[in-house]
Amino acid sequence: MGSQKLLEVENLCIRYGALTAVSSVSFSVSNKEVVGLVGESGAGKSATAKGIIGLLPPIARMSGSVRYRGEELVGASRARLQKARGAQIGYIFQDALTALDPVRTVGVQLVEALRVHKPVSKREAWQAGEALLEELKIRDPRRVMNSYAHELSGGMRQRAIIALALIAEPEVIIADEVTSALDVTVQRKVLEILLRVCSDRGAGLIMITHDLGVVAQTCDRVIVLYGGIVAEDADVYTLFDHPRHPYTHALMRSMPRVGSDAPFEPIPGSAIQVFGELQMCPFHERCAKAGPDCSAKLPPVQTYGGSQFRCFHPVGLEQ
Amino acid sequence: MTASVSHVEPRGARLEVRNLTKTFPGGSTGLFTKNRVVAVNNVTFTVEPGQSTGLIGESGSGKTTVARMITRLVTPDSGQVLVDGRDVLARSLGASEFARLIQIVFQDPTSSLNPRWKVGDLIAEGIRVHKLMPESEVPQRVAQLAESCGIARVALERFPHEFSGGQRQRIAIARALAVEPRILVLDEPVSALDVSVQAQILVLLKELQKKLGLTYLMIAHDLAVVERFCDRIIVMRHGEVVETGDAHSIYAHPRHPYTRELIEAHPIPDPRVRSLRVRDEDPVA
Repeated sequence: MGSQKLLEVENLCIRYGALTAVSSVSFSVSNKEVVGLVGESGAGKSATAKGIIGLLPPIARMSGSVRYRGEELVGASRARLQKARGAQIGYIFQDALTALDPVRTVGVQLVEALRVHKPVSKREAWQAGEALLEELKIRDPRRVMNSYAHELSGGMRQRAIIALALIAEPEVIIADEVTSALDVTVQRKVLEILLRVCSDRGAGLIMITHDLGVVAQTCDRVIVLYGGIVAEDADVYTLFDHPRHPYTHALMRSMPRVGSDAPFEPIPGSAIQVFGELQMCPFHERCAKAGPDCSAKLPPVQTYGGSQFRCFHPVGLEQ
Repeated sequence: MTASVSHVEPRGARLEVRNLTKTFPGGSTGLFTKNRVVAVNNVTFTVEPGQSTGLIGESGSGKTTVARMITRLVTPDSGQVLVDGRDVLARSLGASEFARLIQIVFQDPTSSLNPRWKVGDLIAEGIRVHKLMPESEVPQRVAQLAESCGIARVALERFPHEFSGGQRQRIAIARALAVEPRILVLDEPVSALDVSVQAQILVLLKELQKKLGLTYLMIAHDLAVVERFCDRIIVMRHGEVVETGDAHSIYAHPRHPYTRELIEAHPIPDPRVRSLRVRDEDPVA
């Protein structure tokens, strides 16, 4: 049971016209690994995720490499991507209400999602759906199978969406802000179930979120995105113990923590949009440590003690 | 948190909520029998002048309905809202007078600001509607409000869509303060914002409170924000108040099982305190 790389993303660049959403993002996901993709709106999280499964809008231009078990998906045929979506890479969408078809029951949608990929009868698919809902700790799977989206609570709906992404047994699962809209108590249950199922199946999980609490509680490895670049990439303990990129550092300090009396330390300014080729550190305008070099060119990737970061002035490593 | 602000007479007022109840028509059990959903059941609490109280609870707990009743957006079935002892839901109090007592800042500044109005006019609307000063003095007052909320002067001639979420929330706050209210209801004021700007808005709200002595009622679901921001906390569930207390002690010693559940479910931003799961690979703490 060694770890094997299921998904490798290399130098991924995504542009919408002049707007650069993602610049040279690289990371990989192994089996049983939970990788966090963290950043605020516009940082490139969802663009990266949608790029992986080929769901970007037609105006988007994508370059770089996305390999599933070594097989290139960038530039692959529609049929190939169709197979990748669902059977190899499952995508759990953010908004459970719009991701579910309002006029068909959960059961019908699960049966379809499975039969697209696997040669099973409707009856078998229905049974598989029911079993999966039970695995997701839904008390009355039969009732949920026969329900429409609007008849379910937020937490139930989210579990139905998770079931849709898992039914064809993909090895990589992308969870796009799955719990942001849920109450904390429900969020906790949904996360628990998701982690359990991924771990049982040996799947790799990409957890897209802006919540550092969720990251700390769930991820093995964390990719911090800012302005479309990987600002920092480290295992979760290293990231929280020694954040190297000033953005990660500032983000952690700006978060209110329960039981701490430290004052709020906001990050000034707001996130930027990148046009054309990125030729500076996207964070330099908001950064307390920025020097003239930061606005002159994009810092190269540096490695130090288990973390990789793009910064000329990493925190705690001042000369 | 910067230079010492000259002391201004606090103008916050005491907010008292007494036995507020609201039911909404809900699902029917038969063809002719209609049920009613009790959204808020006999809720009573007080917010002292110049203090911040957080109202937390899951969706459906009734916290937003309480906020809407306090701001006259929803009419309660029964109960009272008192500002410095005066019943503000009474018909005798005109809409204009009411608006100058209590203002609200909504969660999503994208939908709460009219996209076709310039920022300066958005901020000035309350002053103009309530005829608080002659038109010749309005620009100066707007500029002053903008400055105290961290909005650049050039921004006043632009439209809301030209700004980021954090800037828009500053505009919404300046707009609420324009009529010099005594109580501000903050309905999830930072939950729609990026994490890196949430703290900016919280700091701004704190500064304004210090400067103006405002009374805050903050509706929120982020427990860490409420615990750090508020003096007192009210926990609601299924339309009822289940626990009230000092913010820090509620966290340290929650009494109601639901409060405990809420606190335990909150994801702690520390990978060494993992309550969500234990993996074989996790180091033993």
